[in-house]
Amino acid sequence: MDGGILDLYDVIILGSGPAGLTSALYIARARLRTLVITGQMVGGQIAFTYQVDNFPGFPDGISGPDLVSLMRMQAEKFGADFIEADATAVDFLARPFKVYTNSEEHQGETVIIAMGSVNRKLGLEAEERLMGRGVFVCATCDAALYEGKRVVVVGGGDSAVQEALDLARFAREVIIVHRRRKLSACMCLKNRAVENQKVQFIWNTVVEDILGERRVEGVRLRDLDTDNEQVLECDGVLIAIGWDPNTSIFQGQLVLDDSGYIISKTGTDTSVEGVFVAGDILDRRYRQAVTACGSGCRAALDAERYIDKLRSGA
Amino acid sequence: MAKVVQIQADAWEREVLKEEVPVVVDFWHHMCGWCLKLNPVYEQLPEMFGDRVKFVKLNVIENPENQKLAIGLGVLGTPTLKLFCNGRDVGEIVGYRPLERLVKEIEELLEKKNECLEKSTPLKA
Repeated sequence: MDGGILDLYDVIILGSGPAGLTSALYIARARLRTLVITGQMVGGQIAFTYQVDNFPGFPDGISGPDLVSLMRMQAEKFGADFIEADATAVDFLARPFKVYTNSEEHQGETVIIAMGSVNRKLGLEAEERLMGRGVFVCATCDAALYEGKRVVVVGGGDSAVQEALDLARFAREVIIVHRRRKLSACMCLKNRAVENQKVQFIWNTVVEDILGERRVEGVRLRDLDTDNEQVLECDGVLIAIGWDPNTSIFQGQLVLDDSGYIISKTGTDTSVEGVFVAGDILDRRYRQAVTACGSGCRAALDAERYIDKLRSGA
Repeated sequence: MAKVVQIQADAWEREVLKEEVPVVVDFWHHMCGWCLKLNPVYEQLPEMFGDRVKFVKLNVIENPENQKLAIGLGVLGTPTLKLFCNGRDVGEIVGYRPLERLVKEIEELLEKKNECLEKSTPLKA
């Protein structure tokens, strides 16, 4: 190193999905010192996708893990460093910026946040306790284990209805519990759900609790009009009520909107100069691997320009 | 060198229930992201535990028999690891764990295994 602080990076990238890895590729290739703090879900959500058929350049499709591992190799080839840990706190109030993992402090002149989003939760104690024991978030993963069973799906958007249809291939009965009076899913999915004999609906109702000690045994529902409660026996509860941006560690550090999204004027900037943002953490609309890559590229180019400006004393 | 043994349902009795050492079974499948993440971690275990424990994995969607077996054992999510001793289901670990934590939790299950061995009566032939 050049006599400066040993751990001072030009850019610290938080997240290792397509957005973070594209940022890392561009930054490292510009010969800037680059650190990627991957997060627990190394590779991001796409690394949990069995088959990706809509990423250009792979006419036969490619598995999610392979796709991100190729992206990572490309960034490493240009010298990016990687740490497989969660960023647990940040300090953007002083410079250089600091990012903390459980055991270490890392310093960067700039930061690119590409930490994606997380499944929204109901916020019930039983939800965590019974996760994998009847509570689940991904029908593609576990639908086959619900063969012949009765499953409640919570939600009414595209993902909820898609998951319900995937489940209906195996389950005996799928009951969609939705807080509104109609589905917000697209027409094609709606029609398929309504036509499916195994799928039923309970409208205008919320899940108050998930019941069971070691396994899911049922849910307690509340009708929003009448406040009447009822217990519905079931073997599984699939939660598909959307996504939240993974921004909890930025509370008090960056300006967030009421839903927890980072406010960005240009699509890459944040309320702190030198801190940039990319990918699904900002995206409520497209949420594709390709759009995340594009966004990661833009954040990287803006971070480079910012560093140039700092160095030239402008 | 000890390795993870991939089995199918038809080998269940021989490879798991009748095994003399405790057996950990990873109920997994190839389309489950957390399972794919667990695989390289799980593969390090046979060497770490030596001949104290046997490590087995069973793909729950590879064929209907495997699926039925997993459902019958109450597996509701993947990955689920179950510990068997003397043909008994002693406990489970549900979901991904990093190596250090996984080793610790398996050690804890093994302590329960001792309890199980003391209390169980060997089956008469």
